[in-house]
Amino acid sequence: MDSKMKHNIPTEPGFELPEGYFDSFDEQLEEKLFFEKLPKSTGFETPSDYLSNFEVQVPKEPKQSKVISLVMPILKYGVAASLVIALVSTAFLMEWNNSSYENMYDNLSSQEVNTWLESYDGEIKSSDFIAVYEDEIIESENLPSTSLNISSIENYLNESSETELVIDEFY
Amino acid sequence: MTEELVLVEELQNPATRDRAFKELVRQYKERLYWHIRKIVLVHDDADDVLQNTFVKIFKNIQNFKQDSKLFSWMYRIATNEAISFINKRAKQNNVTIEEYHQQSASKLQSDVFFNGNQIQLILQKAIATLPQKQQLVFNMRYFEELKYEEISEILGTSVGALKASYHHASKKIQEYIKTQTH
Repeated sequence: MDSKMKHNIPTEPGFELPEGYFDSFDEQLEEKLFFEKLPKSTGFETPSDYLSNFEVQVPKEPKQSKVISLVMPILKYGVAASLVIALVSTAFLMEWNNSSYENMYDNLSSQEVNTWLESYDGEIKSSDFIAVYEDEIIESENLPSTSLNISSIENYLNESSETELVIDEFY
Repeated sequence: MTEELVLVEELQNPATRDRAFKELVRQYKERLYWHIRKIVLVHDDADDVLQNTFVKIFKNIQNFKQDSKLFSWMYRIATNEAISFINKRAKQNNVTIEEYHQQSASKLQSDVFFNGNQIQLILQKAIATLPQKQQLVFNMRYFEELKYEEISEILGTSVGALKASYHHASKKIQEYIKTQTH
């Protein structure tokens, strides 16, 4: 080997270490040895043949029935309650603002409200709103001609993934 | 096409879905059960969570886009289900999640489906003292011997953060066991 080649051979191997490697080496070795002595099994058991007999009970169409059972009462009573509140507050406001409506609240007996609620068949028609709010509040031609029934609302909710998620949360 | 891809295709095809799902349950029920059991500790709870996990897998398999391995995707669902279960139970019992973990570990001694010795019991109690994320990482690395890359895919945490998490968990467990055995 001539002197020129000798000169090109590096005297250091060129390997590098992560910073602080030897500082933490002892600690890491101790940790490794400590866990070597510990068991690798947990001690948990299952009832005999549990896993071999395990079967998944996948519900058939789970969402549909559950959504209906939750939405029905919420919608029905929610809508009914809203209308009662609207009736009462409209009558109150009218009485406050206009003496010609003075007797309206008195004329609307609780019996009439009850009768209306009992006859409520889950369908709200545009005419119901007009009857309550009078022409100066809602113009009848601005209202949709179709009636809003519970099954339309349910269908909408069932088809909407966002409401499905909300309902799922409650479920 | 790999076996997993074939299974996923069959699961996503309504004509073959039911049969493929049975095969999926057969292949993965044991691994998922033990993964869940280490989180919830009690057999009955693990059974509930395992059922829910498979039902969720069944309902959402159409949305599985194969961005990750099927195994990682199912592990993620199982982990989320188990964690949600724990959190819900803690809320119902009006205790913190940490307290709930520790209470569950304390009850192991009288659990008919726990047959561990003294050191296994102490080890479970030590794990129960860890923050939830560290518990998951420790269980997956120590007992299940999953690679950091696999854990990273399941938990959506970087490998570096997982290594740090495992290191912190190991230190705390080591200290806990030392104080309990000396």
